[in-house]
Parts: sequence; C-alpha cells; structure tokens
Amino acid sequence: MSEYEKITSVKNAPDKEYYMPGHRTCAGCGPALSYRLVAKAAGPNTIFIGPTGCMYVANTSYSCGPWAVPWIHAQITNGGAVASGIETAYKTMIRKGKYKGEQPNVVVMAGDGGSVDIGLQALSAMLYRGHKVLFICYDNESYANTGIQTSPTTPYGAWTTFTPAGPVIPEGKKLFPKDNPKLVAHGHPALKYVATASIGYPVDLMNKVRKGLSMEGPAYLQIHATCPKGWQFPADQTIKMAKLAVQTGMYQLYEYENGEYKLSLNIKERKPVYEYMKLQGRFSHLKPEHFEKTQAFIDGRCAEVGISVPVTTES
Amino acid sequence: MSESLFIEPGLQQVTVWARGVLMNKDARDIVVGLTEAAAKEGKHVQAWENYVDLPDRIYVPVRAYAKISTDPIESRYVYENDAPDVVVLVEETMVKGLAVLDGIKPGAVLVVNSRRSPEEVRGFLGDTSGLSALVTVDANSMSKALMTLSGAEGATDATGIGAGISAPIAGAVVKATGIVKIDNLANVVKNPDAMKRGYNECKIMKLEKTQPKKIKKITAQERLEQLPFAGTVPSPQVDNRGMVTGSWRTQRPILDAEQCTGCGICWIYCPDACVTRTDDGLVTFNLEFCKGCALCSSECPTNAVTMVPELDFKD
Amino acid sequence: MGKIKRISGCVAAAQAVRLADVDVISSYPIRPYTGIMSELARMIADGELDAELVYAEGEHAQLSVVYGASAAGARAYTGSSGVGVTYAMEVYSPLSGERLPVQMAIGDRTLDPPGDFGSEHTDAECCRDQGWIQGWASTQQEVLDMALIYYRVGEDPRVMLPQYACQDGYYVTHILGTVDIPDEAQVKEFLPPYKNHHVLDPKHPQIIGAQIEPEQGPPMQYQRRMAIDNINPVLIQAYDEFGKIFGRKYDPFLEEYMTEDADIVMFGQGAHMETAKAVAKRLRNLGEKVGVVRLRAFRPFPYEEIAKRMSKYKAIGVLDNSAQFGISGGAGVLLTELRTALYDVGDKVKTVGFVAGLGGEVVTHEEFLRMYKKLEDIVKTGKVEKTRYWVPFEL
Repeated sequence: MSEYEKITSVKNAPDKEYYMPGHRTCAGCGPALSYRLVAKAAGPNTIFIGPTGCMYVANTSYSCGPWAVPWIHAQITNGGAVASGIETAYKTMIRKGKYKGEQPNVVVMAGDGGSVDIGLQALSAMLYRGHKVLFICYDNESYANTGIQTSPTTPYGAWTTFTPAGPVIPEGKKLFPKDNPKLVAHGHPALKYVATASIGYPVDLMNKVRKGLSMEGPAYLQIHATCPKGWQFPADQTIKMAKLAVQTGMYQLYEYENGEYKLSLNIKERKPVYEYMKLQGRFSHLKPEHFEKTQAFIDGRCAEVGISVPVTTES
Repeated sequence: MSESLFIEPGLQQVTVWARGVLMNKDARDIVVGLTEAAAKEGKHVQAWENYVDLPDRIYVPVRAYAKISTDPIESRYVYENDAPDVVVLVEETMVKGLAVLDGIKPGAVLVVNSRRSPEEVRGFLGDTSGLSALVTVDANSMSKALMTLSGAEGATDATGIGAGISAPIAGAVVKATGIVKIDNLANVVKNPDAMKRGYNECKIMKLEKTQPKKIKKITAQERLEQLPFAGTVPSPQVDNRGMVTGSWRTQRPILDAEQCTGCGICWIYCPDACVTRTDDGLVTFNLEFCKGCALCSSECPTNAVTMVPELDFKD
Repeated sequence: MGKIKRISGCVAAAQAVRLADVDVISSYPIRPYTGIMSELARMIADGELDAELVYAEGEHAQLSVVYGASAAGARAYTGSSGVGVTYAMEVYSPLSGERLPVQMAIGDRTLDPPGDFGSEHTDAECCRDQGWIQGWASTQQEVLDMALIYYRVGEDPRVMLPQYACQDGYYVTHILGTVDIPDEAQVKEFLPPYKNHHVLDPKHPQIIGAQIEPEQGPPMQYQRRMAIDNINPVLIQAYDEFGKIFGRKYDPFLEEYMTEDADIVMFGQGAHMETAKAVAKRLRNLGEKVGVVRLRAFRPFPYEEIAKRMSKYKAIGVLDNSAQFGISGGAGVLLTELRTALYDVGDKVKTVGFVAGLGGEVVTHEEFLRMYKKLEDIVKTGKVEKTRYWVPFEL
C-alpha cells in the first residue's frame, strides 16, 4: 500500500470537482452523489468504467457526460473484465515504452446488478487475477434504471415491479439479500482491501476510495447509495435515509483488511429497523411479522462484523 | 404537398407535461382517462408515454400523449404528438424554460395546474402565438399527486386511473375544449368529485387568434455532419452543456447569509455540484443546473437555506 | 526472406501475434483454437513475446478484456471456437461500434448440441452481421498472412474496425503445413503501430460510449457504414503492399483456380476448397472444363466482384459447410449471398447449394465428384430441380 492523503473533515475536503454539474439523474440522487465524492477523492489521473445502469444512462443522456476525466461504457455483464483490459494495457504499454506516464487509477462504478448479479463473474475473476483496479458498487438495492426491479441486494419485504405485494405474496420480496462484501472478501487471495461506505458519511467514503486506490492490487468498495425513486421517499431525505440505515444497522460500515473486520463507526445505540423502514414507500405494505424477520436478519449481519450493541427497544 | 396528403382532419392530439416520478402517473392518468372516455363515445384512441423520457427521474420533464379521432388513427407508431391541440402542464414551473408550445396547432389550448391566474402564468411563457386559450386549475387544492411505480413501462397500473390530481386537471381540459363528454370522464376516473371541481373551478382566459411560430428541426444529414468519431466527446472541465438541468427546478434555494456558518455541509451533499464555497465563508448556488432537490436546505444545521417556489422569481 | 517451418494453424496464428507485437491477449480454453493460446503462453514464458496474457473467466470476458485494452491504446488479441464464439455475442457489436480494432481468431467448430469438436463454419458465421472484417484461411501460411493483413486493414485510420480471422478447426488449426515465417523487419515495414482516433488517457480525457436518443441512431450507424465501405479499398491496397514486401500475392476477394475457360465451378471458403481444387485438377485431366473459386473475404461480402467475375459461368455449386436452418434457398449463407450477388444475371447462371462436412466430417473427393456431376446435369438439361442438396443424404 502506498501513501495517500487523508481528508480530515468536510471543511478540508478538496474543492476541485471531477464530476461536473449536468446529468439526467434524479433530483436528490444518492448514486450521483457517490460518483461526485468518488471522483473528487480519486483525482485527475483516473479512468472510469461505467457498466450499464443508472449511472450510465442518466449520466450520459444524451451523447454527453459529466466526467472531467476519461470514461468508457461497459456492458452490465463485464465491468470487471473491461477494467482488467484497461489496467493490463497500461501496465504493458508502460513496460514496453509505448506510453510515457503513470499507471492511472482504474475505477469501475457499477450498480448492484452489475456487481452482485449479472456482473459478479467478471468482478470475481478480476479480483482473482489481482488487477490493480478499484471496483465500486453503488448499491441502491434494485435494478433502478429499468424502472425498479428486484436485485440480489434488494432487502427482504421490498416492493419492486418484479416483487409487488399482493394477496398471494404479502411481503413482496421473499428472498433475503446477498452480502457481496463478504462474498468477495473470503476466497480471493489477491484481493487487498474490502470496505463498505455510505453517502451519509462522505469523509469516510472519500478516504476509503483513496485507501482502495493506494493498494498494490484489487480493492472492492460497496457504497450505500440511497434511492428516493426506488425506495419511495422525498428527494430531500436522501442523506437522512443514508444515516438512518447505518444507525439501525441495516447497513454496516466497516473495512476488511488482513483477515479482520474493523468497524468504521463507534455505534453506541442501534435503532430498530422499523424506524428506517417506516419512512419508505417500498415497505408500506409490510406487517409486524415481516419487520420482525428483518430485525432478526439484521441482528445477524451486525453480529458478523462485530456490531455488538443490541437494538434499542421502543418504550 | 406531402404534408397535406397525410393530414388527419378528425384527429385531436393532447400532450401532457409532468415532473418525473412524482407526477408521471398523473400525466399517464390524464391521457388514459381522456382516451377511455373518448372510446365510450365511439372514438378511435391511443394513449402512451414518451419512451425517450423514460426512465423518468425525479423532477425531470416527462411527457404523455393522447390521440383521439373520429377515424382510425394513421399516425400510430410515432414517439411524440407532432401538432398538439391541447397542451397540459401538470406542474406550474414547466411554463419556465421548456419548449412546451413547440409545434402546437393554431387555436391550441394550454391548461396549467396552478393556483396562479392565467395572466400571471402567461408572463412566463414568452411567445404564446398560436394559443386560443390559457387555463389554470388549482388541482393541488382538490386532490393530491399520486406516486406509484405500478403501471410503468407498459405494465398494468394496479392503483387505477384518476385518483390523483389527474382528475381535476382532466376536468379542466374538458371544460376548456369539450374534447369528451364530462359524464363519460366521470365514469372513468376514481375521483369524480375532484374531477367536477376542476371542471367547475378552472379559470379560462381567451386569447386572440394568431399563428404559432415555426419550429426548425435539425436534419439527419446535419446530425451526421456534426457527429464526432464514434460519438466520442471530450470530457467537460466546467459543466456538461449537453444536459443543462435548471429547468427541472420547482423551488429555488435561497441563502440567509446571517445564519450561514460556512460549514460546507450543503456543499458536500449536493449531487449536482451546484454549491460553491466562496472566499467570504459563504456559499453560492449554480442556478443554471440546480434541480431543486433541497438536500442543501434539508441538511443545513442552522436553517440558513430555504426553498422558495421557482415562479416567485421572474428570472 | 523468413524461416521455413512446418507448423500448425494455431502456431501460425501465434507467430503472427508475435510479429505484430501485440500488447494484451485474453485467453480461455476451448477446442480447437486452444493451441493458439498455449503457444502464446509458451512464447511469453520463454521470452519470445513481450505481452500480457489475461486468463479470462469465459469467452464473453475475453472479448470484454480486449475491449478495454484496445480503448486504452493497446494492440489486443483473443480467440475462441464453437459455443465460446456465441457466448461472447453481446460484446461484438460494442467492439465494432466503439471502433476498437481487436483481432479474434476463430478456430471454427460446430455449435452444441450435441458436443462435437468437429469443424463447421456455423459458429463464426453467426457473427456475420456484427460489423467486423471476416474471412477464412485455408492453409497454415494463409493463417499467418491474413492475421498480419487484418491488423493492417483493421487499424487503418479510414477503417478502425475489429476482425475475425477464421480457420477450419482441426484441418487447419492442428495439421502441420509449410509456413514461411517473415522477419520482424518486414513486418515493421508493413504494419505501423496502433493509434486510434479516440483513447482512454487522462492526458486527453474523453467520454466513450455515451447513451443516445433514437434520432442519433441513423447517424451513428451510417458513420460506421462509411467505415465498412472503406474496408475493400484498403484491403486491396494492403494486399498489394503485402505482395511487394513478403513476395506472396493474394487476390483479396476470390482465389480462382483453373477458371479461365471453365463452364462449371465450385464456390466456397476454407479448407474444403483445397480438396475441391484437387478434384477439379483430376477432372481437367479428363477434359472437363471445371474450376474452383475460393472466397477469401466473407465480410464485407464482395458482391460486386462476384457479379463482375462469376457471371460468365454456366453453373456454380456452392459448398456451405454450415447449418443455417430455415434460410432462404435451404442450403447455407454462402448460397443465399451468392445468389443475391448474381441476381442481375438471373437464370443465365445456374446456382445450387451443397451442405456438406457438417459435424467436422471430411468432405471427400467422391462427394465433390458427385457435386460436379450434378452441376453437369444441370448445364445439360438447363433445369435446376432443387436449390440445395444435403450431402450425403440428398446427393
């Protein structure tokens, strides 16, 4: 791992933008904010790979784009593979004297579908081969660009157009979500760094980006990017929702390095998941037993990474 | 010559503009409501949404269309209505900065959901030549906008038609144009009371007969000549001129300099990089691109940012 | 003047890759093209080739890796066979449309089901509409030569398109043939370094592949069409230069064998046409006026050349070594496209399709003999009773 400049506070965060104004993302879009923060942290010597998804279609509609750095489209299936090709090309061209310059940051910005589902194979192979690439999953918990359909990170009980609630299926989504950070963390020997982040904690997010880029090998960062359209809450609540996810344990912030989990926040109390879920239209059809099931599932997820504080029970 | 060969004299076109995600269902309900009512009268009908506006994003302008004809509709498989007889704006700020009157037929009628008078609304439109009447209806006082993902992308809308602000707006359209019989519309919408209020309480301002302005369209050959190699464009270093988003705004952020502490929280959380930190420890907002998501206002710890309706400003 | 060696088509392809100083290669094993990658891996390990070999997790990933590498400015190479070729289908159009001139070797093979390693043109022909340059080599020498020519043409600034360099599985990939391997100096003279019009480079930041509206579709496709139109003139120029530098002359489109006064020719591509030549030679010894036209360029299909040069024959038998079920004419794509090319001469030239060699079965001398005899009958009677014969069931 090489040195990197840590950002100490919002006030001291760098002014320079590399994700400029002008993109067709939702007002209050969580993933758009994550892109801005990632680009800001990564700086000018960066190449972005954008698999198909909201952050492709919305950002490049039409025949344009907001990045001040190079960017290329990839299929939703192959972000990891395209990034591997770019990283390898630069490594080879520099060695053979065909390119005069430094190895650039190579960063994939893929949605949850392009990371955990249809894009999982390419991600895993990239991590296995040890390419120096930072693979970022902006997790908005659905296939959002196609109008909100279920993905493997969609929470249990969430309404999507493929998991609508009805008399036959009262909870809507019956399946519990995959845990991609843990899935990739155990079993890829060349993987150097795994972390989760949230747009509600921007300084922590930007530092994790820089830390990931400083590794001499692949890194995986999953960012919780709240989605007002898909989860059905007002656009100005995007940040509050992100913080509440962490405060209820619905999203856990940690790093996984050298075989150990390191929590990013000192959580003193854990609010019940109901406090978070009741604010989102996608859970409005759920009954008490569904919330209980979610609470039990989240309790387990928290325990796995060492969040030991119990849930605050309501009075 | 060929233009007159393809005229459909019995055809009326209705084009509805709305704000994405929050009102697109109501836009759809207006065109579906009107066409279902017209079908009861034996008319030939077609209702659809603008495919290219989808996927809709929060606050982005989206369009829905109706064709109602005494004869079988010949111009079925087109993306847009090319010559609207009726233009409906589901949200009032759409009179500012959007080409809503492009291509209207001479004598067209504009209906705007607004509590303001037609005179005040007219001031924002600029060139209104071609319009025969301007109508305002305060639909938000008669019903509430309905948000649902059900019914998107051609699927069935499980929530039904006309329960939201679509009902009073459609009622106002009928009052101003007589395009269908009000009793037929009443049988189609879920909220006939709100529909009646819109019908009775809308304000109609008649305008003098004028010819609409001619719209110049870019040709395919011009597009070809302007097309860069493989559509590749340089990365913007200031902002993306290809997607200027200020016209998405329904409300504008205003800074109270007294309350502002220069903490930078509004700056860090703006997904569109529309907040600039100034040397005097304050912030300015980029109104050319600001979408009015109100995250700045929502997150400001000292209540220094308030959101003010966009039509309160003449600029 | 290079070195003469007896090598397989796989090794010949690998030699071309070495001579072209390719930077990035992506591999995945599937018979019969695997030998190309094994050979390249050996060359890298032995220090004969300075390149990176990326072990892709599948064929779709292979094409995705070279997509990224080419966009970053590196000369890139990959390959596959059979269902591997069809698995990667998603990425072919992006490679063509984003104008990334990678080269893909196809050691052709039947498609599943069932599993069968044998050669057919079916797999590669599935890709024919993806906007790539494509053609078949029928000898090991031609494999090496075509690989160099394809990089030269594909990377030409007027073209900038990817290429499928096809060879018959087993017959060409595995059997050893005599190959003159050129010098690095000769290749340097023939093949300039790769330089695209757009590139992913932080020094010149660009956005590649933005989403478009429908109105932008026709201009985008037409721009690519204009590049496709440039392929043939550049192909002619490249083959001319190749002939001068390396001393081997090829007709870019059609190799004519004993066609000067032929009434009847067999038309097809790839290895089986070498067998056809042997049969034609024997028939010539018996006084028959027969010949062979071997198609060398499959995409773009040289329909104007064919109309100009093949309207003089009385009958043409088309060998389709592929299964294109349901196609117009009932044989395969070569029959259909030849007929379209000869549309204006109508009934003057009788054309018939022969589907043979499916599953990798040898197309025998006897089978070619029966095809020539059938064509003779057609010339005698002036009647085409059937447009196609599936050998050996229908002929």
